[in-house]
Amino acid sequence: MLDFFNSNETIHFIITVSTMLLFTIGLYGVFTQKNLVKVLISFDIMETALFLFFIGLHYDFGRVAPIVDGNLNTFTNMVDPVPQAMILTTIVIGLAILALGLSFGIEYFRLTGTNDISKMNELRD
Amino acid sequence: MSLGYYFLLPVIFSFLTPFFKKMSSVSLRGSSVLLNLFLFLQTLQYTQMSMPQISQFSIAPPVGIAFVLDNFSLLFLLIFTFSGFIVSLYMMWYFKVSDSTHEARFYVFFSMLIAGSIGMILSCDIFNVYIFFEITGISSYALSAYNKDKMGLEAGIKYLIIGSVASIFIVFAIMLIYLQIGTVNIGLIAQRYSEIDPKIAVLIALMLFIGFGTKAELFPMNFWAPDIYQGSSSHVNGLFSSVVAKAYLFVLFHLFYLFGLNTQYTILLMSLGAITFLVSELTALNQKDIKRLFAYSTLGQLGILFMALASNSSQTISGALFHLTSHSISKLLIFLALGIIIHKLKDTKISIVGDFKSMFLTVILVIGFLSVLGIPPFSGFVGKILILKGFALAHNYMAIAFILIVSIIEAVYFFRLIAIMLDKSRTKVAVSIGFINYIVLGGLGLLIILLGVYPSILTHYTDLATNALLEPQSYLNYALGVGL
Repeated sequence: MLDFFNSNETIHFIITVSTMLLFTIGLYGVFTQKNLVKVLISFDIMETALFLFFIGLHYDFGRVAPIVDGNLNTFTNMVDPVPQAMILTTIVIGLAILALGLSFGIEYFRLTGTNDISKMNELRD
Repeated sequence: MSLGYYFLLPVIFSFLTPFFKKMSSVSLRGSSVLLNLFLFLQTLQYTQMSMPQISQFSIAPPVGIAFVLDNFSLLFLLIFTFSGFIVSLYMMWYFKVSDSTHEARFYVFFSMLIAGSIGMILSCDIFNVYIFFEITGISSYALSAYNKDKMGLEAGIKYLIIGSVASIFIVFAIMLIYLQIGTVNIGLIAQRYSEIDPKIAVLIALMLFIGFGTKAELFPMNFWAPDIYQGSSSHVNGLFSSVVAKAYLFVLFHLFYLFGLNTQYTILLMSLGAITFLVSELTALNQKDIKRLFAYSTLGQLGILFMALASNSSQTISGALFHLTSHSISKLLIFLALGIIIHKLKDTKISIVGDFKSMFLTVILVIGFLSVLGIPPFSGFVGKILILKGFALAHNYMAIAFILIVSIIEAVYFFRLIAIMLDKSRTKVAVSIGFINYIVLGGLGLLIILLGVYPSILTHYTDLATNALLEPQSYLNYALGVGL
């Protein structure tokens, strides 16, 4: 009965729906949360959803990880390695942005004692 | 020189900054000037060579990574390296007279910003464009907040959140392109863009517009820009206005014409540009903060550029590129001159333009204002008249009437500023300008007049750049690695 799950279409469908759900949760968080740390976490959820979506859609059922070692040295039956390399780069960039954002948050908290982005309204007309 | 050094040298300099700072501050400032001067002179040398030029790293494109320089990117490269050189000269003065505790931090991100912007216009691989997009983005968030004051941090946080959401859209677009075509090389994507399922193609185009449009300050995604300009230092604003916004604009229109989006989306981009222009100039009328006022003025000018660059006609685009160059120079001049006044008066209200006593600064600021407004004999006039001429040749009289009418709104606040400046009844404070700034601002002012009187020195390059943009076959050949 579980053979139903052993097809590409089903797996890709499940991945698409679940990651888009995760993406929506992240987007909702970015626009509704007041605390800067929570906004950054929501942003990270959004990013992770994209990573899962992209890698998941490039996984075909029955293929192996694109790693060449002693036993496995042919290039057949592997998933496409390019998306994984790109996602690895994007994860590093996301980490850099997160670190910068948190350091801004710490400095802002030291100056004002708050991390509420709805109170950041000194810059306006 | 390999094109890769345009990216490598600033990055290496950025990483070495702490060591320079340990030796002495003067060596840090001086070597930054030398580096930027070197890059600018190198670019001047490229103007004498035949285009396009390519530098490939290890493997030939389309598989490997390469930098391609064609006439279109050459014009932007000239603007960026020139702006970098001017700002590095100005910073020699700035850190001498003001608090230099955050000096090393500024230079780290300043060099990164130049490296990222240049990498973004040279790279012919859309994923690398994204990486340089993020390098430029992260360094501009950090530059907004590098003083660690309350307003700067607030600007940095806002910029970071908006910028990150914009970058998510770019990643999404790149992923969809890869899922459809299986490549990230811009040349290959351009060749096979029509094979993409039309519904997905619309989605990709929208994602790219949202991502790059947010960063290039296109309506309705530009609500963040005035806040950022208000919170950042004045010289950082000069960089944002003349380098960063222009780099994102470059990528947007480069992809727009390469992917053949100009057949469907011309009207959309032109009307968004027109709305940007109108709304920004109307909002600029009742601003009380001088940096915010010029942020809106920058948005307005970018609106004209969007209208003209999306218009599909070679005359208009050539005029737009002239206007873009002239706008970069004028805004750099205005923001650097305002920086001197703000440093002295410690205030950012609009009335500060009337509170200083310096013949030189007054003349320089009036040149800048009139050039942005488009009054002869300054370069902004030539830019605007070339755009209007292009629209007239394309029989687009609506656009001409629109630009002229909105320019009147623009004139209202510029002449109000000039009136405040020339008001004799105000108490005036003497400002010290510094020897370097006479050279920097005087040079920029002379350049504005020179381009206004002899536009042919620049129109030659803008015509070549327009050809490269509208007929990208030679660029595509290089990006694909054909016949190398």
